[in-house]
Amino acid sequence: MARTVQATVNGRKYHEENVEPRLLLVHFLRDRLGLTGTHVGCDSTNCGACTVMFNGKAVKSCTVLAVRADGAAITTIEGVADEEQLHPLQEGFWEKHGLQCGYCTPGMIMSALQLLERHPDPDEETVRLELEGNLCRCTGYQNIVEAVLWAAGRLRGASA
Amino acid sequence: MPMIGQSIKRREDLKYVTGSGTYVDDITLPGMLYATFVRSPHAHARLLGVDTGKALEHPKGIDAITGAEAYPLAGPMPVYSYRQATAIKKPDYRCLAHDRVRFVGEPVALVAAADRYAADDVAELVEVRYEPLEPLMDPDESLKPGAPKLHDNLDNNVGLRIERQGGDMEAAYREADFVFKRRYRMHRHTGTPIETRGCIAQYNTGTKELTLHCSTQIPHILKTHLSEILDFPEFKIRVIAPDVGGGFGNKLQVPPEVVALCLMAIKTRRPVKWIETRRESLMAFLHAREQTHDVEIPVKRDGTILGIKSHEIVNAGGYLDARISGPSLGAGMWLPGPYMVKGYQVDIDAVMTNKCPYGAYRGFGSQMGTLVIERSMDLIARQLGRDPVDLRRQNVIKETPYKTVTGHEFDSGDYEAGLDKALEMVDYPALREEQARLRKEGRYMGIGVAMAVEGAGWNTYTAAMAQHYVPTLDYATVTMRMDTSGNVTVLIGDVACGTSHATTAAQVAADATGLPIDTIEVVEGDTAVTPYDSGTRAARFSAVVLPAVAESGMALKKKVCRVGAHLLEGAEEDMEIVEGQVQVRGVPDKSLPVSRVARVAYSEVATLPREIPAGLEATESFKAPVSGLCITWPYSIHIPVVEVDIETGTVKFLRYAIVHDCGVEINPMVVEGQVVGGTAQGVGGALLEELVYDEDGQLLTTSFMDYLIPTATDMPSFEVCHLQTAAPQIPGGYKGMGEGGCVYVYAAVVNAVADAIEPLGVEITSTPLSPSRILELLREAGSNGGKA
Repeated sequence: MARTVQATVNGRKYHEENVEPRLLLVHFLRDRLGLTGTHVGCDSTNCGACTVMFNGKAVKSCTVLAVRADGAAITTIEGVADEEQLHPLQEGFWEKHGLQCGYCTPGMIMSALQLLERHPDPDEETVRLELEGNLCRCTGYQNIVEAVLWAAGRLRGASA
Repeated sequence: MPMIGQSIKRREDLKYVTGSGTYVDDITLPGMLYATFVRSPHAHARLLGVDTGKALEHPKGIDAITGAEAYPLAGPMPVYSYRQATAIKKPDYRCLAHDRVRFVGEPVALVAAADRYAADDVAELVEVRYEPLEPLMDPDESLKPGAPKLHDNLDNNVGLRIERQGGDMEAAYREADFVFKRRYRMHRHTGTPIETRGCIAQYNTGTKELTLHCSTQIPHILKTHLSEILDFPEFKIRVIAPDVGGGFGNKLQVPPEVVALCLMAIKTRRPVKWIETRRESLMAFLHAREQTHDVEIPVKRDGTILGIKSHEIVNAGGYLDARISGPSLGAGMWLPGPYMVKGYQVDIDAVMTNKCPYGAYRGFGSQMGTLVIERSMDLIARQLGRDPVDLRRQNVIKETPYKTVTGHEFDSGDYEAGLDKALEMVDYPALREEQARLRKEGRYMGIGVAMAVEGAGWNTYTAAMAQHYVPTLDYATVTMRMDTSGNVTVLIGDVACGTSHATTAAQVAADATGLPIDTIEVVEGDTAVTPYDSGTRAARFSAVVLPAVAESGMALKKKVCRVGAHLLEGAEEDMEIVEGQVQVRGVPDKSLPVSRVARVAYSEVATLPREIPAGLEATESFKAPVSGLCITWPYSIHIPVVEVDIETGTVKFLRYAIVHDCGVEINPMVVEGQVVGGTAQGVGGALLEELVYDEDGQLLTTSFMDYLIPTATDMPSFEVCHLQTAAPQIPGGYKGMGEGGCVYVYAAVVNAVADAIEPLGVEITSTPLSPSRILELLREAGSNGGKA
């Protein structure tokens, strides 16, 4: 039984009809709304490439049904900042070479957003622990950790 | 300021951090269908019938193709013939199985439907009848006399035989005081890029063109193979590799699935997309690494390593992948390591079994050869009562260039100095003292040392184009085009898969032309607009492609200067380009912006003398200067320090020091990223990842819940020391380093763990060293303190 989903994604209101109940949120975002920055890497909630903010919490959108997004506020990588003024996390990943192929990067940044909300001044161990649910095959994580610590410093500086 | 040598930020990153990269699944074409493969649930079975009737009755089902239908339309998948292969049998490997299935996950049919989910529904309605047959999972079983043959056209289950020797192995045995013997086993695992395989195939009935958007490392080579397999004119095929979400050698594959997808596009006259699921990927994308080596090493009592001999068995799986020879031969060629041996001999059998086909993965066999020699160095040292570093120092090649018994010339570098540097980084003597102290407390710290000389830029790929071996050299061709406003596009035929080409090629192009880097853009991966290229493989981008970028840049500069000389009324040879200005050398007043020169060259051609050609474009090739198996010789020394918890079997990294030398570095930040990333990948391979089959041939590790790739908490902080010995034969001195740490890390980590638990009577000769395996080893040795 197809449903209607009304959701706010990156601050914009969407009204989508005929949403199959089995449609995954990640495919709703990618195939219906054209927001292809959110990626699919494993289909089983392990790799985190599909991470988005869902009502303020980082979730893996490959195991959320799109119909659950009815009434929800969602932020994807496309909504983190605009090109003119990157979010410090985006800057940090760029500055510290925190990405190579870039496929895990959007999910990694979305998880890191939540990490920094929870821990504005994290140490290395905290960063590694909090990002355990996001897999990267290229970097060995070293520069991802650096990127997040760099962004944390920036954000603290900005709020001080 | 020269751009080469600067750690400039990557030019490709803005799109990735904002989610505006374009991977194949991000592309939607008008009228596009979605495809799903029907795959074998059996490891080995006779295919009795495939019925697509019910599937096509599904309201969203559009079409289906079976193996029987595909058989006359698509020829066999390629297998490369290398000079070194003394015998190669070619199993009849088709894009869809037609008589028997030979591994779990082998494609038997393809369906197309109106959307992604419907394609899966339709695939479920395809009815396949199988007669299960006994699977062969272990090469030892496949090799037994009377074992059933997996392929009727082969004499037995040996798919590939390579025999190689060099130097004087007889003398090595003659002079030996004893012969060290072991059997080593490396387990099956693979690269698992986070982006799985995917492709969109499209056929235009009007132009009769086949266009593919495909996640691949080899757009041009793929095009050539598709032309052969489909008997389709090559110039009517266009392969576009968009952003590629990791390759690691796995995406050097010519995927049978892509061949079948082309058939579907031709049949339906509509674009068809296939995006592999992770489960499919773990079952049916390439597997790698699984090998055993029965090794003999003749040794003198004084510690001289005289030679190495091995019988190598590769578990090749159900079919031979095109590149089966590479990792098989790679392991054999790396057996002598960086040591001065008198002789070597390797007999390689790639054996057919009912596992997924075996192919390329970062390191290309070298990590197995390195594991064999480096593990042996430690074990021989122990047998002789020597320190493992001391034994290496005694045997390591002291001077370069050095002619190896494998027929290569290690052209540059100081391996002993590299070893010293690595020892200094970790303060080796202090570490040994610390280890002794901790052992008294019942704590098990281990220090692993591994070193190797890594070959980059394999010369072998064009063998792909011949059914028999032909001598070949690697080369690259690059076109550089200046537009009417003075900006430059660099056209390169391979494709970045995290490998930073857009940045490093622009750095080299900027220095070659004298133009500001911001005016240079790199375009790759589209066969319609880039020169032919053998793809992103074998760490060849720096060693082969970038010299071509430099050549092409210098040629373009010459053309700009020629037009500039005419406009400035100077001599061509007196011209230079400085920060976007063409000027008479040393006379900045006499100058013109490059944009003005470009405008004249394109739009005011009438004002130029007839002998100056219109437009500003240059195409140049660079041919490998060396004809051996590899072109350049980077090297590295790894020293991890670990602590093994003997109650849980877990391995914790205390330090990880790396010294490496990849010649002149174009962008040290990028180099370090590759070194660390490659090492991390190998840590996963050594400790965590394993593709496990049960005795019926079912793959048990079909998701990232079971196939454990490393997380952020599994990884140490790596300490990297860069040495830069220029490659003497390569203009620019680059050696290439895309294999990263993958060559060395297995041996280093295994040696570290072995060193940690050696006092408990454990000898390690196989991988992976997962916690359960370490506990098992401790139990076997009766040394886990009586705990479970």
